[in-house]
Amino acid sequence: MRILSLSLIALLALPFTLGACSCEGVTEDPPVVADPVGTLRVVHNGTTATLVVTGLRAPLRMFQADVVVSGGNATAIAPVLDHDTLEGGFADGPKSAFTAVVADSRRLPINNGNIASITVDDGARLSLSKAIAVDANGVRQTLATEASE
Amino acid sequence: MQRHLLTIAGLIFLAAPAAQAEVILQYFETPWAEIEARLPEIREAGYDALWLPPPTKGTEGTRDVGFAVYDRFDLGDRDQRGTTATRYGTRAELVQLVETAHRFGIRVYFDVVMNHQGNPNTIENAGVSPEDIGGFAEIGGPLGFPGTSVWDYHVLPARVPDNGQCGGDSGCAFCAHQPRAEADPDVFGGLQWRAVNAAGQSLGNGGEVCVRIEAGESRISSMTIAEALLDPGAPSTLPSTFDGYTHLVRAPRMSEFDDFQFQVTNWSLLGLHDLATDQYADGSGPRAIDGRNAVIGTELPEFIRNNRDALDATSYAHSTPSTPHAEDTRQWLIRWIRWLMLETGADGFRLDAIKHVWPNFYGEDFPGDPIAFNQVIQDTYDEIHGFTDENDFDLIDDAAIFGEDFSGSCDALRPYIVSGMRALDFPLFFNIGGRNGMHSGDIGQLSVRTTPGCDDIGSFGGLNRFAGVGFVQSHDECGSPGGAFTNGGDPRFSRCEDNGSYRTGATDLSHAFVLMRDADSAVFYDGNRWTPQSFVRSGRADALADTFFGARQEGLTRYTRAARRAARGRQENLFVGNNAYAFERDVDGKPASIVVLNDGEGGDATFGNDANQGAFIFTRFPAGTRLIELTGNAIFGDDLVVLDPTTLDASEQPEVQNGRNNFQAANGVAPGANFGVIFTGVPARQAVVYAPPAFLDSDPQGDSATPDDVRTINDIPVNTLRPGVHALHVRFSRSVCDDCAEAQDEVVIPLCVPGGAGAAVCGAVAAGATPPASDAIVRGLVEILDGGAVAARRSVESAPSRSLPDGASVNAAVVHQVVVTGAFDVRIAVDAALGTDVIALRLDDDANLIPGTPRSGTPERFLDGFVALPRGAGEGEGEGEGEGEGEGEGEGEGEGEGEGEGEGEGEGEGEGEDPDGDDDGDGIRNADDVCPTVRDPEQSDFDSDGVGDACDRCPDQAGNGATGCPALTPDELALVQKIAKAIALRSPPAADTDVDDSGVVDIVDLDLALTAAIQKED
Repeated sequence: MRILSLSLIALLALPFTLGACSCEGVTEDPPVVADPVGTLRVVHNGTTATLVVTGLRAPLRMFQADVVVSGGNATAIAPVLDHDTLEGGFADGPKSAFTAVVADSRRLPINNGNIASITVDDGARLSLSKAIAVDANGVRQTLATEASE
Repeated sequence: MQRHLLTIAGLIFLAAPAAQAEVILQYFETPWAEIEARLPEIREAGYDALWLPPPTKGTEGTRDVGFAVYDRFDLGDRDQRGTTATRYGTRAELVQLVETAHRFGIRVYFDVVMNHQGNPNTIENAGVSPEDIGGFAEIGGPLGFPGTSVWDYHVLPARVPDNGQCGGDSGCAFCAHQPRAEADPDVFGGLQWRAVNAAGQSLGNGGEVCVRIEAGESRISSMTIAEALLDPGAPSTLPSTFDGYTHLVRAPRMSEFDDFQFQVTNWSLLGLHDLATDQYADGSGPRAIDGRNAVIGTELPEFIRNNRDALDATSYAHSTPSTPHAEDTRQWLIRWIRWLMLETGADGFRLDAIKHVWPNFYGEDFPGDPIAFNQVIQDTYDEIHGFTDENDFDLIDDAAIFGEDFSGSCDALRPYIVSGMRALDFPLFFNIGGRNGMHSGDIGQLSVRTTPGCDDIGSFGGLNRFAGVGFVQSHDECGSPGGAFTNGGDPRFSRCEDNGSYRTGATDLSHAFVLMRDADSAVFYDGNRWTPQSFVRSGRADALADTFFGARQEGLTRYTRAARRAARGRQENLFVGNNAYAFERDVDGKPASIVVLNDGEGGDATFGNDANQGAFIFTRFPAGTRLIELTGNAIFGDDLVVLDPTTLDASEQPEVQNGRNNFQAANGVAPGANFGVIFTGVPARQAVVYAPPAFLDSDPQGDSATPDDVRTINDIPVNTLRPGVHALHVRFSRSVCDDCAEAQDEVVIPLCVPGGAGAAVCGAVAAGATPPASDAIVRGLVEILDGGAVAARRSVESAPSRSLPDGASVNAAVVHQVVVTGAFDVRIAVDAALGTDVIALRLDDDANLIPGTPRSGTPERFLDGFVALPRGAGEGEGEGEGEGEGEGEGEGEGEGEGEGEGEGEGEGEGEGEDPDGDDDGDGIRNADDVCPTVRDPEQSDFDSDGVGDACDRCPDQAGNGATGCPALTPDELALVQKIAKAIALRSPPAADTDVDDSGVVDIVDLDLALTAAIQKED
């Protein structure tokens, strides 16, 4: 037990105030953040499978996710909002496995909600894996994926 | 139907995620309307939920607190018991209170009692005499309780005694018989069916008991058996033991509160009519009854109830009123609790007197029942909220169910907890011991993670968060050992304290511990309306920081506010002494806050009585981390930096041993090389709470800072908002340091929409108050812009004091609200140097004007249901524009008159002078307007690209298109598309697609290509 004066406390605290904490800001080479920044899931409705982002800790610039189609093929991908860069490689034909890419050349942020609509054969189901994202600060993140509904 | 009993193993399994705990305000003795008016204060004070008294009509009408239930389907809308309203108001006021509470993110729990109805023979209500009530039959039903049968209760066959004598007792109104006293002792343990007299003495098989008229009663409820057999719930045959008896009477008053096998569950609590909630026995746990009335042995009555509030008996769906259906007592209660949730929107219940009802009533799904009692609560909650929640016991997206059993024994509480509820934490209540000593003067005992006999459900002096709800005092008991159950002493605030005057700080330390501990907790407040006529004991008079004794009393709310902000995550001991105890709350293994409690009145060796003494304490916050003290109690200031222990000399080393290292080793985290150290001083019998600064600096003057991180959401229309008070929640979070949990904070701004009823809708809270034009800028602020003008400017913990004009004798401090009359904007500006990561909004409304995600069962609820605002983004713009413009012009002018000064004038002038060519009416012609479609008199254009911020989809990046966003050249766009396609097709890396030369083509390459293009544009 000690009795310290306020001035002594201030002296003790000063060095750490000045230099010890490198707490804020983003480094030039940001590490991959282990905790998912949010969740990506797919909601099926007939021949439409919607990619839905939920629980985001921060807005995203873009994301990608590996997609496997069971019971048919996927044939197209389109934005639900107005994001302008979506790709599934469908120009080369229907796919039973591909990587979905959603981005925006204008850097409009991707927030929670329905993001992309994938056209699938009737009865086909998508499953997601290996979802990664780049958040609004340019940091690479992971996205959790949920089983299809 | 499946049974829903939990196992102890299940409880252990559940003890995983560490989410924000709830602070519940038990708010009694107060009209619904007044509670609604104070909801902004309640939220600002840090409370997450309300625990309200029984909402149904009590036997004594407006004098009934609600526990003497009369009509479970009367919420204050039936003229009976001398009143239409309940003690607290009308049904409409009740429903409105719940609705408004929900907008503030406050859940509402009602106290409900399943053990009994009232006692019609103790009527004190003006205008209703005991004679009006009769014995069993005159009003509404055989017992005087509408919609019930005499056979729904624990009643006894009886005879009028000779000379008032029954056995050895005198003064008996009836001699009552317990016909099953001869039941098989092997089956029922030899205890359940014994006959006892009022003194608890065994009468042997078939003995008679004395039923007396007790003090305050005028009679014993009775009716002849012949009359009772005419009742629709009557059994077809009676046991032979009814032979020779002429009447039915209520069960005697219980005298042995530990006689769980018989009296506690079957006899009358305080003369209240005991419902036969008896259950079918399955051979496990406490043996109950084989589907029969436990006292008289008849089958549980099942008869046609023609209640106007009937639900479908099969599905329990809400069906057409007056649908007649058959149900027994248990089914009636299950139907009622669901009805109550559907009618009020209740989020949970505090179950009164649970030990007087068999545990399996709550948890078991019995043959013939559509569902178990606790399960119907959870299912109904999910149904109301649209949840598909598989786990009803993880405290995530679950209704709150917690029961009252005045027992410190985990063995006694466990059967009820396993039935699917938590228990009010009486083990903790007894251990903290109120103001006269935390755990009898050894506060260190509260650091023990588990105690013998409570390993599965216990934690830190009481029950764990999945098993208990902590409290210091309630309407039934007070916090001090000497004061518990004491009902003496007249001074207004004295009954839970010493015999003298009110002492606000008397239970501060107990509350601090319970609030900051890892479990939900409750604070009791009686609205400062204590009256000698009510059995309700007085609460913490300062629970809402009311003003009395000439000052705003904030002794308790400093802890509730701190709990709201910092009480989350796992609890880890840091320092354990006899009179001092420090622990850390950790989220995902990272420190989030530090709590230090000083129980110094016992001459402690470490944290003594001397207010100038302090100590070094280990922490897992790394050296250099800045921490803010949240309560204002810290002796050495409220702003500190964690020290590096290697820089301290020998005399300054952290307090670790103190003779209690056994506790440290067994229950705490071990100090290590990476630990930091804080030096703290805590006043005697108080606590301090340290957490990283979140949204705000603690600089009280602070207006020198520049709020340069600006985020906005524009044109939120009000025309689809209901008139009344809404809550705008603004949440902030940021990383404090690499090893620390995220710092978080929240501002709740009451928004009032006058609507068609005019300013009176808002006046319920704001009458007589003049909101200040602005609060001090404290390195960050939230502005509400109504029609372009700043209507309010708020910073965290900004709560100017003013009186609540409710006629109450105690003034209250009320946070000011913002009256919005037209489409409004929210602009949030913080000091960018703070590095705020996430700013998110939620507006509780009807129209989902700010799109967000629904609560979705995430362990960390911080942003559940919120929408995050990126830096500089004008999110919501698209949705709001059309509605906002029309509404703003139509309503803004007229309704602006009664509101803030500048607001009305500005709108009137602007809209009255709209020239052609100024589509948005902001006084700037379209040709000159940086955003001609959105009213933006400030013409802000952050990125100077000619597209005003109000129209700019990319307000922080110069653009060259209508969106205000950078537009790529065809070559750049082609490269972006090529990379995207390569990712999609999982193509091998090429020189132009693998931008970072990592050997993999992924969105990192895509982002680098886009960034290069955009930076080139800049």
